[in-house]
Amino acid sequence: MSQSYQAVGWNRQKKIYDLMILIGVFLYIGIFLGIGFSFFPNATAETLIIRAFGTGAFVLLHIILMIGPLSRRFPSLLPLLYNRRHLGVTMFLMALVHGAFSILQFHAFGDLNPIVSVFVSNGEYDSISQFPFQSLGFIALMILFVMAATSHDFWLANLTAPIWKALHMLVYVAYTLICIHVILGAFQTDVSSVYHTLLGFGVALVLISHIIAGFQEKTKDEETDSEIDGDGYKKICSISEIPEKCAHIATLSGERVAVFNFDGKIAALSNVCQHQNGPLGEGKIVDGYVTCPWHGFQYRPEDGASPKPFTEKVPTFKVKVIEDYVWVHPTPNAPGTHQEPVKLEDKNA
Amino acid sequence: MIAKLRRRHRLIFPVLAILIVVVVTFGLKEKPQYSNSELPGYSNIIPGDLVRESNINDEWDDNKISSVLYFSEVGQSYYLKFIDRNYTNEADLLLYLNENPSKEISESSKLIGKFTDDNSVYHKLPVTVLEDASIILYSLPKKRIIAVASISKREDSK
Amino acid sequence: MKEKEFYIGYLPKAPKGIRKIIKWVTVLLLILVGATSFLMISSEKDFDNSTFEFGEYNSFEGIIMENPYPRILIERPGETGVHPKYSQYYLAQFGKFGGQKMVERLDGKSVNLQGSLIYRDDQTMIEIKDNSISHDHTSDTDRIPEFNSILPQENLGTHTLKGEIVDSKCFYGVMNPGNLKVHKACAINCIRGGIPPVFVVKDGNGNVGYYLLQDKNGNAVNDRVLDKVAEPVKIKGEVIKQGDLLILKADPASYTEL
Repeated sequence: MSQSYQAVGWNRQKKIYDLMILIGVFLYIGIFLGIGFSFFPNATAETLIIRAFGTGAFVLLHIILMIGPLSRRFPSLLPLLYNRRHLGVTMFLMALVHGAFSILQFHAFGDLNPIVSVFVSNGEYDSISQFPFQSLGFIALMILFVMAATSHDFWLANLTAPIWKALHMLVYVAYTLICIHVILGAFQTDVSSVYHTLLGFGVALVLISHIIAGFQEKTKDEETDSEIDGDGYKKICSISEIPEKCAHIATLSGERVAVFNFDGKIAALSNVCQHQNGPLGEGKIVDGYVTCPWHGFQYRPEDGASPKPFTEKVPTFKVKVIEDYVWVHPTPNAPGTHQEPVKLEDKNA
Repeated sequence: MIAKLRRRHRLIFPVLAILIVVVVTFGLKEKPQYSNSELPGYSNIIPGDLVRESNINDEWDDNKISSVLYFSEVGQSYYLKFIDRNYTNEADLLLYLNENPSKEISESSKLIGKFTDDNSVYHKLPVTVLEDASIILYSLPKKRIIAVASISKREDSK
Repeated sequence: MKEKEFYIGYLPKAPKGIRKIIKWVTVLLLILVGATSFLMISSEKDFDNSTFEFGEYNSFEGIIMENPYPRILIERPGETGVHPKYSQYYLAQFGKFGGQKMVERLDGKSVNLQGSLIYRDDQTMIEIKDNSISHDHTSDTDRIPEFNSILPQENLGTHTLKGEIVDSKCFYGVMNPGNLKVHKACAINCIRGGIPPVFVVKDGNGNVGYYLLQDKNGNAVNDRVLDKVAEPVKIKGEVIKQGDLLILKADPASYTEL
């Protein structure tokens, strides 16, 4: 990264982001509790707090889940993705307030350990309408806890990006559990159909946006079908298809490769950023470095290595240019291997 | 993300999506429905010849209470029915009648009955003549008088 | 051709075009968040009129009736005529427990105690303050007062009722809502801890009835009703009126899910 990069520092963009998160949380909770206490004098404070933080966390989870698919479609929304983990931690904290108050209210001060009570007090696991929905909420909370606890880049580095990402994909399991928690819990009582509609709307938004993004990615994932020459190089695209300082992405040997056009040269790197596996090919060359669009991680196009003091490396690929077409060899070099970029000859008309 | 995880994403997603849809369908279908029931012990025997006597509204010192007085010729009894009770909950509310203007509960105060949320109840007053009386709403555990209605001699129906 | 804007998060400012878009998106999101919150809370159905006087203590003087569920009988002033001479309040202790331990060996005795009131409609309970029960031993007699004489019983016949089993402590005021699915686990915990299980019944015209559950022999049924709490249930049994309290006597094994 260039000298301005701060790996995990709290920079100006993050400060603004966090301020907006705080405003959003205060807005939601403030309106909910303000109206609740004013217009429902018979309501107990615990009930309103449990509902405010539970619904608030769930609304926030929907926003978080939409950021991924939306920023694939609208790259201008990438700033929302940049600090998304702070949204996730905030959502966990709100869910924790909901869970802690609920456990205290419904399971503490009895003859059972409160956590044990969550799972055993209602034993009707064989019923739909009487199912102990609170068990599902507890499991979801544990998933969110693990995600929040490992949200720091320290864990990302130690678990490696693929394992960390696989762990964080449990958010979908948590989301499903929470949907079922609501349906087998609150929705088994006489609630207004407004809630049914809102949940239906939220689930539909998440499902549809993911399905659309999924289809778009699926077509890109198909192996680039083209000529292979005697040395095993695959024809990728013409030079004119690659905008200056940007890349063309192809799928070779099951994974994506980014072919960059910069300063009259062509270089090919793995499309997969070593930080969180972001799409390097959707990034740009900034100050001579391939820059990831998600968090700004940088790599030298010549050898796929990050500038000192950073140690991340991505594989490079052998490239040749024949008559304005770029050919890439599918077998990657080891990460950090120097691969001289191909100079484009100055062609005059 | 890497291709392997994208594939896993594409597999998990439909599974969870179908699960959510199935649970929504069955969850809402299985929602418990509570049926109406009879209420033994709560029936209020009302004489058929009840005649509306008067409203007892301004007589209450609490302006949130309104009630109606009825009279039965056959039983020669008065019945009090509450119309509105828009005030906060209170513990063990008992209705008392003083056959004098006194606004205190004493040994001679007569218990009319329990005051409940049920506005359909006709409370039978334990007297046949009603003049210069007080009806008192009293909270037993708090030992506190909540409201008093001063009822002057009933001459004509209002 | 204008170079496409590229966002790098650790730089002090985002590119102008992206900044503008994000500003609008943020404003839109905050409006949505506020609107959603408003929609959520304003769609809440009204809460029941029940009260728990948490932290407030009153003094009570009355007779303890230990079985099958601890109660205190408080004498009503004045001439009660055809009505019972005593009001009955259930007794509980702090937490999800009935008052059984606190009134052990005090059956029929006249006591003073302090506690917090819990009430809904004409139903009342006292959460006894720790160590506040005092009993004047000099007034003890050999005979326990005949409860039947001070609280006349009336048999109202066999009836089939449909309703929900609740724990009387939460339902009468400590929690709101103190019934239905969302409260089920708590209700089970409370009833298992000795809180009297009450059958709440509605007639469809807005009227509610409260029936204390006992078995055919008039004993407590706490442990035997746990699997039917907070769900629609039908019970066929004998309805007894004891003072002002209505009791439904039936074998818990005969309760049926609706």
